[in-house]
Amino acid sequence: MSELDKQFHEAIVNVLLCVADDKLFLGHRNSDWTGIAPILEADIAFSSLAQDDIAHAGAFYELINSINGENPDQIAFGRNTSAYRCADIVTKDDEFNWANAIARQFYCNVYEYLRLQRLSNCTWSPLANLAKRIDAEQAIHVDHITTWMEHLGNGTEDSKERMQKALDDYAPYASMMFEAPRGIDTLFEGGILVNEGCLFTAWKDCVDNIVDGTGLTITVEPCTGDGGRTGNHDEDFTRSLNELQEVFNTDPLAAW
Amino acid sequence: MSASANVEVKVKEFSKEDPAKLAAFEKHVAEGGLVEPNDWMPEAYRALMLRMAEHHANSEIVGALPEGEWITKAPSLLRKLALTAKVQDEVGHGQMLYEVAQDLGKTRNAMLRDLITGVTKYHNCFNYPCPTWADVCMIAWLIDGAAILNQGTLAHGSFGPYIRTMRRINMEEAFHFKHGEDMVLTLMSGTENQKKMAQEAFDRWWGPALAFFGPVDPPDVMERPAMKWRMKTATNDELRQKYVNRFAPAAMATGLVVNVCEKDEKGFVTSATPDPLLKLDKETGNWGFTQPDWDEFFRVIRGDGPCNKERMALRRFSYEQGEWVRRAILNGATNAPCNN
Repeated sequence: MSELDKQFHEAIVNVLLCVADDKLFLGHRNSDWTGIAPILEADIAFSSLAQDDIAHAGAFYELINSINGENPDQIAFGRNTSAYRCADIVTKDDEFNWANAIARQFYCNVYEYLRLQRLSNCTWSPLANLAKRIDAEQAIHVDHITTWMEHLGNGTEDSKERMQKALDDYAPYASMMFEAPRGIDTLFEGGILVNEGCLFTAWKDCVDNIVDGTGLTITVEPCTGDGGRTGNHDEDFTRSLNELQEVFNTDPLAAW
Repeated sequence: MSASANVEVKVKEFSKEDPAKLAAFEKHVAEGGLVEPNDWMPEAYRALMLRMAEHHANSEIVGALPEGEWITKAPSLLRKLALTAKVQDEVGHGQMLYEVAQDLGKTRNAMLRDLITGVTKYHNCFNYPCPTWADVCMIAWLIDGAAILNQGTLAHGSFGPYIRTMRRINMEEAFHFKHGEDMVLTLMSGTENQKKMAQEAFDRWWGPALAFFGPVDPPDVMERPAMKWRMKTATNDELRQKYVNRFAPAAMATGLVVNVCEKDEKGFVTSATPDPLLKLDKETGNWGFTQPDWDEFFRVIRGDGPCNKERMALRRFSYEQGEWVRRAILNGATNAPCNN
C-alpha cells in the first residue's frame, strides 16, 4: 500500500516523530564528540555514526513531509519542547565520559535496530522501504557498539567498573524508550503496523545476549509513566534543544 | 584545514653529514626526486620533516576544536551534517599526518603528550575566537581556502609519504572550501542581520588568514633548508599574494568589505576601516594589501592569544579523559597504531 488513509495520518506522524527525534538527538549528542573522543580512530567512527543518525532523522522528516507538507528543517528545528517525541535517554548528558556515551549508544542502537525491523513490516510501503534501508545501516551501529561493550567489559577492571556504572546510571532512561507512542494501537488495529509482541522483552533478550561473556549486567525495567514520547521532557533535553535551536531561532525563516 | 608552511625551522648544523651523501641527496631532491622513510637523508631533513608533519597533524586536531563547538548549534540538517563531516575530516587528516610523522621516528602518544604540555605547537590561526555561526562560515571559506593554496604547493614537496597524504587531504579540503563558500554566499544573500554577522566575522578572520602563510620571508629564504630541500615549494609571501589576488576580489563580489582592523586582547574588532592599499596593479595583476598585524601574530604564537589556553585545555581534557579507554582497548596491543 503506497497511499495512507487520512484517518491514520496523525498516528503515523507521531510514530515517525518518535523515530526521527530519537535519531536526531542521539546524533546531535554524539556529534559533540567529534574532535575530542579518546582515540582518533574511535573519534572518526563515532562521528560517522552520528552523521548516519542525523541523516536518518532527515529521511524520516522527509517522510513526514510527504504526509503533511511540513518542511523537514522546520520540523527538526522549529518546535516547542512538548512537541518533540524522543525518549530522553538520547539527550541524557554524558558529561564527556566515554562510558556514558557508550552505554547510551548501546541501549539506543539495539532498540533502534529492533524498532526498525518491526517498521520494515509496515503495510504502508514508503515506511517499510525506508525502515528496511536504514535498518541495514543500523545493523552496523549494533556491530560497532557490540565491539565496544566487549572491549570495555573485558578490558581492565577499571573499564569494566566504569561501564557497569554507566549502564546502571542510564538504565532508568533506557526504560523510557519503551513508552508506547500515542496512536500506535490505532495503527495496529488498522493493519498499518504489525503488532509483534513486547518490544522490551525482545530488546532485553538481545542486550543480555550481547553482554554475555563481558561480565557486565543489564538491569533495565519495563517502562512506567509518561515521558518524552508524550512530550514530557527533562532538563537535559531542554538544554540540548536550546543548543540545537540557538542559531536557527535567531531567524527561523532565514536560509542558513 | 591546516598548514605547516609557517613552521619556523632552525637547523643547528648539517655539516656533520657525509659530504658525498649530502651532495647526492641534494641533487636527487633538486631533480624532483622523492625521499622515502627508509632512504638515506640528512638528520636535519628528518628533524625538519618530522617537525613539519607533527605541526601539521597537531594543527588538524586542534583545528577541529573551534568549529567542533558549533556542530550542535548548526542551523539546518544539511549544515549540521556537513559541519560534522568536515570536522571529522580534520581529525582524519590528523590521524594520517601522525602516521607520516611516526615513520620519521616519534610515537603518536609522544606527539599528543607534547602537544598538550606545550612542547610542540599548532597553527596560530586556531587561537582566535569563533563567537558566531558566521565565523564557522568564514573559517571554512577563508582558512580552508588558504590551506588549499598552501597545501597545493606542499603536495609538490620532496618527502613521499607527506606529499601523498597532502594529495588525499587536498581533495577533501576542496569540499570544505565549497562548503564554506556556499555558507558565506547564503549569509551574504540573506537578511541584513546575516550580512552584518558575515562582515563582522570576515573582519575577525581576514587578518589571521593573511598571517596563515607565516611571517614575511627573510632575504635568504631560497637558501634555507625548507626551500632548498623542497619541503616547501613556494614562499610565504608568494602564497600570501596569490591568496589576496584570489580572495580579496571574491570577498568584494559578495558584498564584503576588506577592512584593516584593530582588535582587543580577546580578538574582537574595535575599529575597522577599508584597506587603503587594496588596489589592483594592472601591470603585475597583483592586489595591494595591508600586512596583517605581525606584533599580534608573534604575541599569539608565544601563547598569549585570545584562545590559546582554552584550546589547549580542551585538548588536555580530551587526552586525560580518554586515558582509561586507551588502556582498556590497547591493553597488550603494543603495536596498535594509537599506542605506539
